[in-house]
Amino acid sequence: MPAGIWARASIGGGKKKIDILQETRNRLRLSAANSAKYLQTVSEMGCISIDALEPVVRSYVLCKFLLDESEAEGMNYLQLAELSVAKSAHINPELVEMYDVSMSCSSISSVAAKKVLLLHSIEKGLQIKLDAPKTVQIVTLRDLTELIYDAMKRSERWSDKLG
Amino acid sequence: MIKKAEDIKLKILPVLVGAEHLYYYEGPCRFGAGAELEPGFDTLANEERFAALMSGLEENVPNGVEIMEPVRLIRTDDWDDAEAMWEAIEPAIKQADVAVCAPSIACDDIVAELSERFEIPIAMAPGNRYSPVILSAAISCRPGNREVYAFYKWSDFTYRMKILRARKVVQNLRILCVSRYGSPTSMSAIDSIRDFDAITDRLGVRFHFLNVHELFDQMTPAVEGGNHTTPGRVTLDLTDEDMAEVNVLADELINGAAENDMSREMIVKGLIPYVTVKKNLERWDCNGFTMPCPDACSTRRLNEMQFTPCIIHALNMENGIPSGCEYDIGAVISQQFLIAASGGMRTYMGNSCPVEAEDGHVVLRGGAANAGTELERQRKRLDEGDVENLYLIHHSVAHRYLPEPDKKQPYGIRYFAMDQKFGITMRYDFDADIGKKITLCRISPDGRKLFVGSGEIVLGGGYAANNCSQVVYFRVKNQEDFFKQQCKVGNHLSMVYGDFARELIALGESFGMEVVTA
Repeated sequence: MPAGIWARASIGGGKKKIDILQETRNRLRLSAANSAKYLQTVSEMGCISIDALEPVVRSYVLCKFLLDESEAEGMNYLQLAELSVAKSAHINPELVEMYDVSMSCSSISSVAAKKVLLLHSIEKGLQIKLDAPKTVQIVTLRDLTELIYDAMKRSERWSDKLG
Repeated sequence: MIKKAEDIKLKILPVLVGAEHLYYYEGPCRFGAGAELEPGFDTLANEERFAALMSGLEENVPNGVEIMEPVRLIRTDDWDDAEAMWEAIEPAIKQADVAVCAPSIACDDIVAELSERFEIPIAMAPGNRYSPVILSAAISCRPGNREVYAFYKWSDFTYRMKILRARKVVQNLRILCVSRYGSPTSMSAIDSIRDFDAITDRLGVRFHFLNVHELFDQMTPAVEGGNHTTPGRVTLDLTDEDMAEVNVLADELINGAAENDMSREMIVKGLIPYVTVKKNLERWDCNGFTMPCPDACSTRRLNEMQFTPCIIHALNMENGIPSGCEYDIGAVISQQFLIAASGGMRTYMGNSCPVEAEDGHVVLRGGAANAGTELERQRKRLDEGDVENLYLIHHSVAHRYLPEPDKKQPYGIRYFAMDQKFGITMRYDFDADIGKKITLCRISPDGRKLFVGSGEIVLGGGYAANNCSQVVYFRVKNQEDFFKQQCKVGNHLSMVYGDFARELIALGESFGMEVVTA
């Protein structure tokens, strides 16, 4: 199959197209509900350590990126962001950069926007302020977890709960 | 300290320019959806833009360019450009040669102000589609001497950084000028530059002067009470360590030569001046050298000490230090142009003129140095090919690193002075490089014009001869035009192997020079 029609080829016509849209809507609803649940999990944790936080962060990221655990196996944070954009646009992940379109006035790529939206949602959800310059150095989910943990340490809301 | 061209780095300062919206709103300059419009989003999004700029720079800076720690100019939609923001970046700006920016919407004016406040060249990196054009027009048309470069392709950015680095290399040239009479000129290369202040103003090149007799006095061990020309002063006289270095160099030259017709004694005598000059270059923080021929020769002290300057220039050029025969300061500067534009190729220089042709035969006017069988060989070889559009450079300052700066080539050693057999010259066989491209250059005596020439080697000469007979013949596109353009700048042409005309033209233009080509 030519690289550019990775997902579109399977979309087909009429009814199939409606099915896909419906499925996407359902996933978005589920994602919103689950991501709120993961944030709640963090709030309910007794003593928060980086090790304890990491699996919750992973689940939250997959949820926000609309990805399943099976398709995310072995991927780092950056690869997950790319895959998420690729899935949303129904294109081959290798072509994400080529198809890249930024619709906000921030002049950033779609993958960068995906990452920023995720980080921004974490900031809002946990009421923390991430060290912004360090956010671009995140490669793995462990890096992301550590950055969140550092921000929690600086926050009055969380500092007492950290192990 | 001798700061060679290869030691000079262009320092580029990434200036991360961004705006942060403090409120939710939409409108003609604010678009996006959902969280993209929320306060806080821009802070994180700006970091992504900055990261993209930094990775673009790291992937695309050429050799010799150093990326400094970035600084930030961040404003909010209160348009609150505090003085503290400018004060914070000032120390870094003072260390930088170029500021590289990639602003987004509603930040272009910050970059224009950056140019106004600090008068630093601004490079607009690729990435933003519109800001490079906006700022290029806006900055260049403001009062003052503003410098701004806009790019939409990284390859163009890389090329321009190469040129700006080359400009810095020229600007960092500091020439040790050894003169006998007045410092502006000597008795031969009167087409050299004369107005030093103008050259410093125009090209940034600086000069340090040393009297030829003081230099000669240093070529012997120190004497009680100081040297004749500087009684009581501490001077850079010949030491045991210097002689040890001379002997090492002599062994290396003799053992490495394919052919040698000089005695070791004469080679040692010939190398003492080189070591003395090297010490002076170190002492006076110079990285270019020239001394006169006729003026120095007529002191009779070269004859007494049995050396000629040829080997000083040849070894300097081998080491990437521009070095001009005959007190030709213009040739020294021209060599630095070539070194800078070529990224470190080694130079050669000499008298240059067209090779005449009549009835399908070359007309060689050899003189004493290029006579007899060697001149006949050259004439015969040249006649075998196309005799039109030929040119030559001759001087016995060829060396071992012309085709490649880091690969020693075979060479011979011949004496310069034909009667007493002193004066080391290294002979390089240019026949080995027939067909190779060369780039030639020279600045005019007033430093306003830069001649850029291109050629292709067709024959070498003088390898087996003595004196100032080393020669390289090359073909140019149009001999008459080449000659006409060369007359605007002067006799000694400097050259490097390879085609660097494009870079040289851009380098000349970066100084505001009138570039003439042939």
